Amino acid sequence: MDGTPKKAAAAEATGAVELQVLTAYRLTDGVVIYLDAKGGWTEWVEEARVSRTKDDADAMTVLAKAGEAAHQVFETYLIPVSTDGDRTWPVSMREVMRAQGPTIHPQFGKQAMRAGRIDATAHAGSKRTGRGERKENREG
Amino acid sequence: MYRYDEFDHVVVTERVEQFRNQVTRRLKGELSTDEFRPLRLMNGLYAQLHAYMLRVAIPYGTLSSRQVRMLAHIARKYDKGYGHFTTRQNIQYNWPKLLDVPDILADLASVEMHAIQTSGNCIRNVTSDQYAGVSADEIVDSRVYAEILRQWSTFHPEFTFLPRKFKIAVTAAADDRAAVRFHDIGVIVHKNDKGEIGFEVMAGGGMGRTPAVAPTLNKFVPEADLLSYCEAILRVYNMLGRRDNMFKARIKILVMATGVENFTKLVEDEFAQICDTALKLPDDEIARIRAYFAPPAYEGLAANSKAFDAQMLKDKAFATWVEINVAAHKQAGYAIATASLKPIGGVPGDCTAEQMDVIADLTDQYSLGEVRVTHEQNLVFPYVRKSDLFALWQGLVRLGLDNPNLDMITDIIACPGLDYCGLATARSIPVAQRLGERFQDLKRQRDIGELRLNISGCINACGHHHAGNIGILGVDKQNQEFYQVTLGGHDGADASIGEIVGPSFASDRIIDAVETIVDVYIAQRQGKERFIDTYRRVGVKPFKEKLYAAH
Ligand code: SF4
Repeated sequence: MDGTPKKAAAAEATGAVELQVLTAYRLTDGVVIYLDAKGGWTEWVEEARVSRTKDDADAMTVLAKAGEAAHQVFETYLIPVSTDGDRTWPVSMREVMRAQGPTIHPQFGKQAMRAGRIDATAHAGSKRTGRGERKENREG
Repeated sequence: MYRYDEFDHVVVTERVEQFRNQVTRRLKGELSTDEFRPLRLMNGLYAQLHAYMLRVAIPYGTLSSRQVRMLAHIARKYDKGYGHFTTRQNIQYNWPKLLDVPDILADLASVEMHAIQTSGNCIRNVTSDQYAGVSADEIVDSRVYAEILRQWSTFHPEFTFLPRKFKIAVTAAADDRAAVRFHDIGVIVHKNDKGEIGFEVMAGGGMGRTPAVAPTLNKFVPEADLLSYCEAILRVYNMLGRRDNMFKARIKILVMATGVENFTKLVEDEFAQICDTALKLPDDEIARIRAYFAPPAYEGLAANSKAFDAQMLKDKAFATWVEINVAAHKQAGYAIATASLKPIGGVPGDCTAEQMDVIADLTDQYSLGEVRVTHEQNLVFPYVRKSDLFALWQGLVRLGLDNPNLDMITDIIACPGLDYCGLATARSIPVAQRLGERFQDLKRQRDIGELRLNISGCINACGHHHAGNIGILGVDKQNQEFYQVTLGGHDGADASIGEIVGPSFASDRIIDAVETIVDVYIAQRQGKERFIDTYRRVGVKPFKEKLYAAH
């Protein structure tokens, strides 16, 4: 929706590649998950496999499609992350929200299961939007 | 009160079993993501930001106490102990598991509820005035016609795949509480000099990225022709509405592109072809539906209640709540009471399972077993004896739902926004909470008077920001939450769309900006003028000057 292919091409031209993780929803309960280094899925973005090259990202996408084909997950897409302080964390507000849970209900969502993670509103200061390659969710 | 007819019951039960089968096939891998998506959407199951979300239809927002108890049960058993009442008078559950959804739908069906027509490009849940059947200012019960429209539109084969979703609202009151002019079709019931019922029909209203106030196509469609006229509109839309671009697919775009006059002519021509067909509403059919909404067995009460008068004198907080949250009833000795789902600092529209259970009890004790959800995300007790108002109020106090803020600045409509919604660009609920806290002083709120403030988390405008006297739209500016402000929106009989006041405000400035707007209004108003009247008189300029003075 936001011209990701163009962005990727630009990144390739400059040699800079965005750090990305691959996210999805688990089919049975709709929980937000991420592809991990072993080819499985984790509920925690900090444990996700991070792609550093375009080939890496492509390989992850292939795994994600396999997960979809195996009916484990749906709506798979790549999101930009930062790894400041060795901690993988989403860049966009939207993805921070998915990684944490609703800010108005700190007792629900992932934030309730793992305390002390970065505050869901701590995206401030970032200049990148990187909303990822999202195709679905025109479900308003 | 309203009930389903048996036909619906069979259909709904069958639908649950169909969906159970579809879920099983999906989990076994026999249905792909793409094959399953339309099936789950047809059953109200969305994929939202954190999880699935189930949207349950509440026709006319009307719930029996039994249904409220079932909603509480579902919240507790399958979700995280709460539900969220929406601006479409529906309830949403934010955390259901796919595996559980067939059971949830079966539980809903056991109390004659479902999640059909809450999504997809069909005719959605028809809405009406929350005070229908009880308000002192209505001509007839508008739900009778909303129900006729609902029965006609449910599973209508021709209108299952419209270019886009389609929303209809009906009112029969002088004070339009159903925002009919912001719907794809709006219907206002009138009576002519001969005492005959007819409908002013408008089309092409809506919110979203292109807001529009629906123009009137016909001022008086005879009662028997309601369905033929609406069918004519739908046919023209189905034929000519754009399917190539979803942003241009709503009927409002077609009406704008065609011009009101031409569009009306197309509709009238189509109507001439079909007005004498099976769509003609026979009197006995209207009578049959009217029986669904037969008034309850009212007691013959005196207009005034001594006990009530005494309580009004004795308890100031109660008296304030009555003045603000209680409306006149058409039946002597009764009143209409609204419970605000906007407690200070709370989430507009949220209701816990425990609250729902108590609401069900209060409904049984004091409102003849019926409660209604409003598009402002509040709950209405439609049949309260005046002498019971005090006890009802005490019950609401215990629940924390006694905020006397109806139609005032903290009675905020807010969509789920980025806290839940996959389409959001910014959060809306935290802004509502902060505004609620800033303006919580009741004396000040009462001084400000009627002021509708609506917040949406993206341009889709589910929070009706275009129709708010003050509208707030969340935008994403380089990954930061900003809020654009519109002024002068209004959803009453004289509906208008808010105008953008200027550049948007950062999240930490938006509350102050609203305060500045309120200050300008107080300084400018004459006498008892409402915010909207002052705004219409003085325009955007004084607000703009003050808001952007430092820039
Ligand atoms: S207005 Fe936007 S953010 Fe709010 S509920 Fe609708 S689609 Fe979601």
